Amino acid sequence: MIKASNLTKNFRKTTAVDNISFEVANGKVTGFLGPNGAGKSSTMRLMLGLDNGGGKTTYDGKLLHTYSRPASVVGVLLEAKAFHPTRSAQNHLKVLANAAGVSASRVDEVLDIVGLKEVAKKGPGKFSLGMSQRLGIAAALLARPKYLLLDEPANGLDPEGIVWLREFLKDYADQGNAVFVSSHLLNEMAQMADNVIVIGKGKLIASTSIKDLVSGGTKSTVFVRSSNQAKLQTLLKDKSFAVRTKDGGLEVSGAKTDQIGKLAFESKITVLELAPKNASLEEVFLELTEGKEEFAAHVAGENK
Amino acid sequence: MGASLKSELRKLFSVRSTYILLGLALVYMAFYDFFIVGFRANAKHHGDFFVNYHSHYYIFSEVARSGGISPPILFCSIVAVLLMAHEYRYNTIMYTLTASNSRSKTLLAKFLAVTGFAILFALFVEILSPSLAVLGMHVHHLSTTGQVFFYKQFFVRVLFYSWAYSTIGLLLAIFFRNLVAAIAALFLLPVAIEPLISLLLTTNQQQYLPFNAMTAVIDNGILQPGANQLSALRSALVVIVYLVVFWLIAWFSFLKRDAN
Repeated sequence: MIKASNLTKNFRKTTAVDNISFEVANGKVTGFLGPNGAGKSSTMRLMLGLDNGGGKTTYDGKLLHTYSRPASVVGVLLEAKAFHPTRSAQNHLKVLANAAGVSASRVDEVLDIVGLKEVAKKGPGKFSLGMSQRLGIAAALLARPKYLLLDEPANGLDPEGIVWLREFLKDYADQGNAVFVSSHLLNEMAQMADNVIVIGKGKLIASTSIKDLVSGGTKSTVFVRSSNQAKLQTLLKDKSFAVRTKDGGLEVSGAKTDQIGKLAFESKITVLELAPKNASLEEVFLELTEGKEEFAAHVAGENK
Repeated sequence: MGASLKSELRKLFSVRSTYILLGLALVYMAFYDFFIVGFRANAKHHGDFFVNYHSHYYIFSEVARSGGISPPILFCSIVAVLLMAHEYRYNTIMYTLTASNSRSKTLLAKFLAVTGFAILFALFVEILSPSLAVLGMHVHHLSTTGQVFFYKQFFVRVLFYSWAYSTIGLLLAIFFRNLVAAIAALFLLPVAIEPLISLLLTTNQQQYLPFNAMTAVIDNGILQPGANQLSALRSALVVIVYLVVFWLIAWFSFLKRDAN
């Protein structure tokens, strides 16, 4: 397990990361969400000891630099274009393999895994963003690390690449490893991640499972269709639930399915349809981070 | 440590800039040693005993002085700058630092790689410089008989000069973390900054400035001992003191600053 405790980073008068603590569980993909400038990259850099700041991060209870081969503990992708443009992809990975104490044969393996075998001998300077991301992922996988820390790995990947990445990371986590991945692609994150950590303006907003996050959002509702809509609507309103008619049924906010089912049963109303309707991750994300964006755009004509 | 060193050596030899700079050094030596010192040896001023090609010391005095040695060694120093500055320019420093469990080890690996490369480069210059001069004279059918060449002191002086200059390149890259700034400093320090500082000092004090001392390591005491000059050995000690002090500052800053 990765355990980050009291991570703090100040840039002169700005606090980029404000006393954040969280855990990344083994066997799970943990998403890391936050608006632009929320402090995601700074947090990841603190976790790796790249930046000097407050707090500490342990990997299975030990600080990263206490391992003799840190690359076999955590694989990193912080920036897609982190390579010398004229050093071939293969040589780039061989440099990293040497540093990590990994055999050169592993380089060809990871190039094959990410689908870059054909361009192994080419300088990555002219690679597309998607190909660069694949090279970065190959670098992260080199030493078969137990943990992966990936910052926006899906950026620039084509749909096939995104599907591959999703399946690959889920599979990697299923083998007992932990994957910590930041992304702005919320729908993708909803499909990929088991848990999610949300930060805004350097502060921790949420650290929970995706399931709990979306079901707990205020935009989660329950749809119910019954034999006596008017009576059920009155009963629900009496219980202080927000109710509105929709698609021949009722959309109820703030209630759970079992509460509505029980109420209908006690009032001898036949329930024809009863279904929870969770808010999307995007809706919950926007709700959680409202007012916590560092850089917010405005619609033309909107009052600022 | 071994893994980091291996990685640094691969970094050095897997980019084309290393070979381009080596090629440029070769071009300079072909021009200076082969053409100017060798091929055009008889076009030199014959009144000066040492630059007369009939002198037994002609090749040594022409090849072994700083005018011939420092330009190719400068290319070696640029290679050292690139080894460090490319890490910041292309952000590969995050891989370098996360693969190692100690920043001190990383820095030491870079220093050892640069030292190894500087030794190889010095050997390249030491073998090629006099050889090209002899070849140039031979091609022009000029007599090279009876040449006295002090191999040992030539070898040691060039080796030290190459190592010290490359170390300075590495240090500048650590301080500036910027390719252009580090290379600009490498050029400006000996030709502009240090001469300006020299204006504030006496001739005797000027000998203790780092690049003056570096030049003295090559030039002082070769054939003609200069009056009131620091010996080459003492000049080397002056250089070492500077390098040790700046290494300590660089080490501290490398440990304490953010990765990039």
